Amino acid sequence: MNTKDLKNISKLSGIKMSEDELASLEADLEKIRAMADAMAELDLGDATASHGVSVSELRADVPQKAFEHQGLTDAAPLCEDGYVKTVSVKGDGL
Amino acid sequence: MMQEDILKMGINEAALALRSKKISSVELTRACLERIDQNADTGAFITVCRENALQKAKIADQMIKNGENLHILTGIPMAIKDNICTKGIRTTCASRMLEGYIPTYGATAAEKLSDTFAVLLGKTNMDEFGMGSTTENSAFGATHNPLNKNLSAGGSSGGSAAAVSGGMAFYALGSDTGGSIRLPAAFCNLVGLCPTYGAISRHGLIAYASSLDRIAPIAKSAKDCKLVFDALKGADPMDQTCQYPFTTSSKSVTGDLKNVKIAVISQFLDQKMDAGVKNAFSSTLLRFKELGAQVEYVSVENVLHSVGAYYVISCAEASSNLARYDGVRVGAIPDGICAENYHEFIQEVRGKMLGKEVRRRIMLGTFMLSDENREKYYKNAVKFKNHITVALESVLDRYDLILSPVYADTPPALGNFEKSPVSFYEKDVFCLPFSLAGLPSLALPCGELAGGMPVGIQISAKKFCEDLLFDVAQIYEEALK
Repeated sequence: MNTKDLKNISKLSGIKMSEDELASLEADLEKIRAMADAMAELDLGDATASHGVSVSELRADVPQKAFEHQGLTDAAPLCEDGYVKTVSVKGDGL
Repeated sequence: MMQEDILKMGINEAALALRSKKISSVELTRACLERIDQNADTGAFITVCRENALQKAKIADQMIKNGENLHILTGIPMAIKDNICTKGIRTTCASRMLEGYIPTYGATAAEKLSDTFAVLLGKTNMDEFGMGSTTENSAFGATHNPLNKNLSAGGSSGGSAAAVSGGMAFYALGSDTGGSIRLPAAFCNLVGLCPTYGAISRHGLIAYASSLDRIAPIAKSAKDCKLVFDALKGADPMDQTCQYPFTTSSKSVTGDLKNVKIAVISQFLDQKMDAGVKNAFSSTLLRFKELGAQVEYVSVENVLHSVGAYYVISCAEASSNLARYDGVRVGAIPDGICAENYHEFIQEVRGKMLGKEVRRRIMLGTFMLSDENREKYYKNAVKFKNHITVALESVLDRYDLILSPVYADTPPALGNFEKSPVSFYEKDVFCLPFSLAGLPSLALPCGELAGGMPVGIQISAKKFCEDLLFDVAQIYEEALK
């Protein structure tokens, strides 16, 4: 990986870094990439399904806390055929 | 009661003292606040909520006076890591980016503690966004180990561990993504839990790597840790990954470890380790055998590749999770920004407001998720995560527990992380397989080195079998006495 590649990653990450910082980063990235390369060479096969609960579900026998955003969703604008219907808003407004 | 006597108490002892009116919650809280002032140089806290704490303590005292049916944590002072949202209390994640952020809601874990009328003393220091293992990568300065202030308290929950170890709080909440509770617990002579992924709600935890992040307690003993865990566990509709089943098939043990089968991963013992740490681990194995446990060595192929897999997955998730901090959607804007367009503006803001380690990990994550690398690195790391989960679960089908060291070395001196961050990543090797597999692990003290610094071990069990970990840890603690 050269400085040009690192500058490109820095741009994609939305982070400005100085030349010095990029130079110090280069060695660290190479070490991590070496670890990732070693892992990529493993023949892992297909892992079988994990044990235990793997699917999220709300359980009827577990008391659920009140859904605190309910008030907000109740007050959300109504939709008709995908278009927002104008609703009156209580309060001072803007 | 003298301050020293007050701060030595465990949760159970303090709760009994409160109920028998030997002490009040206000006195407990004042003792902790005084100790926080005395230990200000440890850098354990980012924010101290003095007035709020005393007000809550007064309410707790009134409840005790009224003889109400109280939770065991009522009136007990505690601290919360600064990446766990607390309603109306600044939550910075130890970052300049969130320096002035005051959440309008509390994390489920923080709210559960608040509902018990536990007393929140303040928010503890950490590595910025949880990225680090020494609590040096904080915009508010490093946390020093109360047992030796030249050394690290571990990280990223170093502030929480320092607060408990230094007698500034009875217990504290931390978060663990790849050892961030277990390491500080080991460095500060404490008990720290990394729970099953899904046992405690993550709602309100500022995300680093969502598929690995967990909230849990750090406390003085396994008993204290269990009391807090019991208050926090449980399903939460605000976190779809939180699904704690209230009935588990956990084995129960009492008195000794005669019906407990323990596995030790042989690949771990081949790792380069400090001689003192290795001796302490060997002595611990012997002690477990003396207590009746059956200890055997097992081979878990590829386990050492967990380091590579962890850093690929966590950095990839971090680069996505932290994309929102741009000074436009979320985050502060520094003075004197000069940019010609939106993209330049974001680069300037993120370059100045995020610390070096955070920027390093975001860049690494972006690299791993780029078109040419996603398949080779990221998808393969996810495949490895499944692989190691199956491997460790198959070990736990035959054994009750896996016993391993927490860290290969003694607590490092402060100021070394930046010289060689990757060498610090490599030393997380004992914690990372269990983080990737979503298994519960409990770190507990197992001895003291020549210089007086503590060493920790960790025990890991099947998913949702935290109770077995606590039972075994309490038997072990009793034996050490």
